[in-house]
Amino acid sequence: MTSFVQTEFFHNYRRSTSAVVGSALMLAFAFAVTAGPFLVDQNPYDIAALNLMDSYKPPVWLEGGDPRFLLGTDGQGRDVWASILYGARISVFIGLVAMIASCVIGTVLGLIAGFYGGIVDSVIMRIADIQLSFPSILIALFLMSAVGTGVDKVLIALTAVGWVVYARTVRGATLSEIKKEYVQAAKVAGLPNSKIIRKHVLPNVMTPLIVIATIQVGTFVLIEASLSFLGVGVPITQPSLGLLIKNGFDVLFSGLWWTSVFPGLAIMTLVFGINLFGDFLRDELNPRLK
Amino acid sequence: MGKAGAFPDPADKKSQYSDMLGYLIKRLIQMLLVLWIVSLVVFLMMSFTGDPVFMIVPIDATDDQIQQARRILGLDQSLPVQYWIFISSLVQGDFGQSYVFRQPALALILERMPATVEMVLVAMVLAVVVAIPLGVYAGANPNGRLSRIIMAGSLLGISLPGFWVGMVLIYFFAVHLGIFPSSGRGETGEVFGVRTSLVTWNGWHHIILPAVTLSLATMAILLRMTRAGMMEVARQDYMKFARAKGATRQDVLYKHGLKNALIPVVTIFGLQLGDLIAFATITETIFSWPGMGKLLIDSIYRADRPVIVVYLMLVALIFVVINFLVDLVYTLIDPRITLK
Amino acid sequence: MKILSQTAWRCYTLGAAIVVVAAGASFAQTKSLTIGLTADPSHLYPLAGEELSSNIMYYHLYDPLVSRSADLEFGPGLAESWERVDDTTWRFKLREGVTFHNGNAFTAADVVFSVEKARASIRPDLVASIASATAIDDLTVEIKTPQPYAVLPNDLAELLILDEEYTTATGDQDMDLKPMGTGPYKLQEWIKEERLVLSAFADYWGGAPKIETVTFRPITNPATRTAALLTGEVDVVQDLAVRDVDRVRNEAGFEVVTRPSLLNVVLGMDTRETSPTIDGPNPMTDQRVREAIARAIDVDAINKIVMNGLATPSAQYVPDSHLGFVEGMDFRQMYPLDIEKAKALLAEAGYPDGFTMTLDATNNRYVNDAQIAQALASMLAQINVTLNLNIMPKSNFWGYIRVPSENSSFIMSGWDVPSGDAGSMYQALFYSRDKKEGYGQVNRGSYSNPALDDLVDQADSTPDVTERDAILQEATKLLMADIPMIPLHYEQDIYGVRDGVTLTPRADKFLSAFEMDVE
Repeated sequence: MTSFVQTEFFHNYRRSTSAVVGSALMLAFAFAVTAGPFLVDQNPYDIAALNLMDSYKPPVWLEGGDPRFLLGTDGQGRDVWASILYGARISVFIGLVAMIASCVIGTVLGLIAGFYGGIVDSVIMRIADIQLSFPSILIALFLMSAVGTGVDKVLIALTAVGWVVYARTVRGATLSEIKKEYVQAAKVAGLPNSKIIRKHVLPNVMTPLIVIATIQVGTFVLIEASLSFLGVGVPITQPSLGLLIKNGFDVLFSGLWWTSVFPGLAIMTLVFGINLFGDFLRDELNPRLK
Repeated sequence: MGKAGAFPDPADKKSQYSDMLGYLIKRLIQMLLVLWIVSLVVFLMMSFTGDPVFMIVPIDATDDQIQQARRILGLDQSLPVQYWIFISSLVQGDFGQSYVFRQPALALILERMPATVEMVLVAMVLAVVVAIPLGVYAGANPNGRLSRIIMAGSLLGISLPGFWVGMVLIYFFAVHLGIFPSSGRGETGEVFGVRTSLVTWNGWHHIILPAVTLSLATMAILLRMTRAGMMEVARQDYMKFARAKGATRQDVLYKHGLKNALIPVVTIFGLQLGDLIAFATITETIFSWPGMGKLLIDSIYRADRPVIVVYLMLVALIFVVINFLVDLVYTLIDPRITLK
Repeated sequence: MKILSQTAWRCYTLGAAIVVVAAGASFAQTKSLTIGLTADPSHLYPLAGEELSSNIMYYHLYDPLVSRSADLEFGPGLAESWERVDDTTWRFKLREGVTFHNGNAFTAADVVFSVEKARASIRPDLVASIASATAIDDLTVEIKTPQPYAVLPNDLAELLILDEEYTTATGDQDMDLKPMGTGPYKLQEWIKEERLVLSAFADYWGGAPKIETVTFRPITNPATRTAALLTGEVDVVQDLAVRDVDRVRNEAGFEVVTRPSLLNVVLGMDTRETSPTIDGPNPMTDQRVREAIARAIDVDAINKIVMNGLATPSAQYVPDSHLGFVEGMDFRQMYPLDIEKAKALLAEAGYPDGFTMTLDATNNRYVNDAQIAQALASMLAQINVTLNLNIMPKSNFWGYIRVPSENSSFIMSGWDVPSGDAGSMYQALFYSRDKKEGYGQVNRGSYSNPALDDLVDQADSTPDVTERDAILQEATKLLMADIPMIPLHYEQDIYGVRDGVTLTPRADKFLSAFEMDVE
């Protein structure tokens, strides 16, 4: 630990306002997401516990506000604050899991493409090229419209659009690595591929992967929100932050702004935090900018 | 958003001389391949969705009526046969008919295209006009107070859900203040046979909110790219050399650096145009903007496969063409790079 | 223009009556109206498909033989009169001197053509009750039904008459873009998803329309629709969101016009021995369980909170205007909200601990449908019936619940009967499946009751309307006791209008500019 504190990385981290603010926001969300259910009395997914009589209460500081509901309630009598805490869980869960899946699948495919070359490489990289020629939101939107709504399906759609960037990065690193003489020599000497990957390839791609992964969580949260807003994301019984905004949009003009504005602020804060930190990581870890 | 985190593949920059014709043919074959794969994938995926016939027949339709509707729509054939019919008529220039509208799918999309294109263009111009000067400034003065504010703002720009911004803008400017219309396209005029709202005052009045909504993310990304380009340029040897010769820092940056700094911006420009077209689907949905993106969303809700297929193929075509043009521009502004 | 008519008004007060008549005729303010619809029409060709926005356009552009009033009264349309020749033969006398928008005369041949054209189209259901149509002379048509059928004229209100010559020459695809009918309005301009402009047909047989130009603008999002009304972009909006009703009411210069619709939101229960989403035997085969579910649902709370008071709890399966409605019978009084009684009924039936099943519902078809589904789940939880919600957009829904896909135990859907007759609903929803062609095809819960089948058969074989009514009332009583389906509420059709617009909503939701006026 002491050694980490003494590193240049940590030194720069402490000096960077954006890194500190970004990681503070991320930590706050990490806390809200894990401890969320203990911070509020109401479980917004327990339909039986909701009371229609509590619907559309304004935030507590406005006239007609109810002290039980800090940020007001929605049309089902759901506490907006509780909905945000639970919704952020879903958003963050989707962002993290889809990122991990993309990273694993993309890395494996990139290694395969880089190591074996030939037809396998061409096929994987052509698929990647075609995908990259489409904006991810469009691909995800189309996939969702074909497979239907659900958290699992959002994960599939996001992974399907997310693996490409890892595959490309890892393939590039693999190619440049296996060309090196000592790697060739190790190969000739019978060093197993798995060891070459572990000792030579992965350490070289670790830093760019970390940066990509960090920022991708934010991107995924936004894409998921967009999908849910369009009605092809998560099911209505488990609203993510994006779906909360959508539900709120329908009543925005009746002056019931709190059901959509607060979840939007929550997404913004979350993604802003991730991007702040990701930005710092990029500047710090990206060897090209050093 | 989306592409901001990607690193450019260094292998792309390695260039070899080859003749233009060969290059064009190669790109053309690539393009056809992409279009073919898109059509195949979309066709296969769409077979998972709800049966479109149920969107068309009345709820209490008898089996005979449903069969008749299937026959009329060509849905009574097996999927491979449907695909074969689609591809073979496509070669003859027939892109198929919408199940819902019973009109040629391509015509449905083309008649809505000007609305989307004009919104995307206004958003793009807006993004460029704001982003490039701010990005150049922030890159030239990386430690300035204003630069930090600009950068924080741009980061906020890529962290905002676009649809939410649209909603807030509608609520504030249309409902609360009542100074902008909340939805739809305004009066249109004709320019060279294309209907556009960019020639009427009322049209501009309608396009501003959606265009601003759409441009925010792109604006932020362009700004960041410009700044990064400027900072990278400042590190280059020839800059140090020019400074050594006595030129002022500002002079060197703006006279020599700017052009080089904008090269990566041009590459991202193509991608951004693609993203704008994609995100226009959402913006159009919020603002009831009668473009092809809204048609796509509506068609997805209605399981109108022919329209979805043709839309995606058309968009793929647009993207391929944009990327091709970007490559061309790239070689023009940077002589070190040649087409491959 | 406005100044002119005010001047004219002053002239009148000065006693110059003759001048006024002249001025009124030549300088009358041309009235125009803009209507915000929920969606752009998909079609302008009546045989190409069916949905509300298209239906609205059809009835501006075309006419049926039998007209249907705002209150579902049936009267002469393009047919002046009709008579029944025998049990299965009807003779329709057509209106003389009617022309299509292009000047072609309307004749019996056009009627015969329209029937045959419909039979081969995507809408053969429009002529399901017609065995044959023959032109006797230019203005007389004879129509035969496959069996004695008392309500043929009601069905004909949905068959719009095409111009044979023009339709044949134009072709199906172009008919969608260049419609040609006898209706009060003709198409002036249609820019897809932006606006559709109709102009008055001065030679309309029912008299020239009062409003000269009508513009329809599709505004899908309910929130933007409200905003468009309040900012003055449109004069009328269709389907004002229930949450926005109070806001529009309180705004000066606007009012809200409502009308109970014919659309009955109903909960269909599976009555088979085993059900797809229920473990073990299906409790809902027992009438007591079905009654318990009915008693656990607080329709008033749904109405008050989810629907903002803008729904009408359903008394029966069809509205009181319909054949088959039993005077004085009310589902709400037969099975009022009573949690204790509901629990007791469940215990009696052998399910004291309740059971679990899935409710299939839409999220974009009925007013606040997804919220209703959630409210139902919390209500049924009180009698230990756990509802898992399976909520989907309508594009997936109809295929999912379609007979015989057999995915569902409990379905929330809607049913409306614009023909004004319970028979078509009972035959489709409650007649035993696979017993008779065209019967029971929407019987999603596989309800089977020989007594009901028998009553529907009887009703469909009598040519006498009064007798049919009596038989259908028996069927209603039987169904209300057996509860194969819980009627929830009728939605209200809600319109927002600016002051000065006269709008009388129609029971079938078909907005008609011909029936409206503006100041």
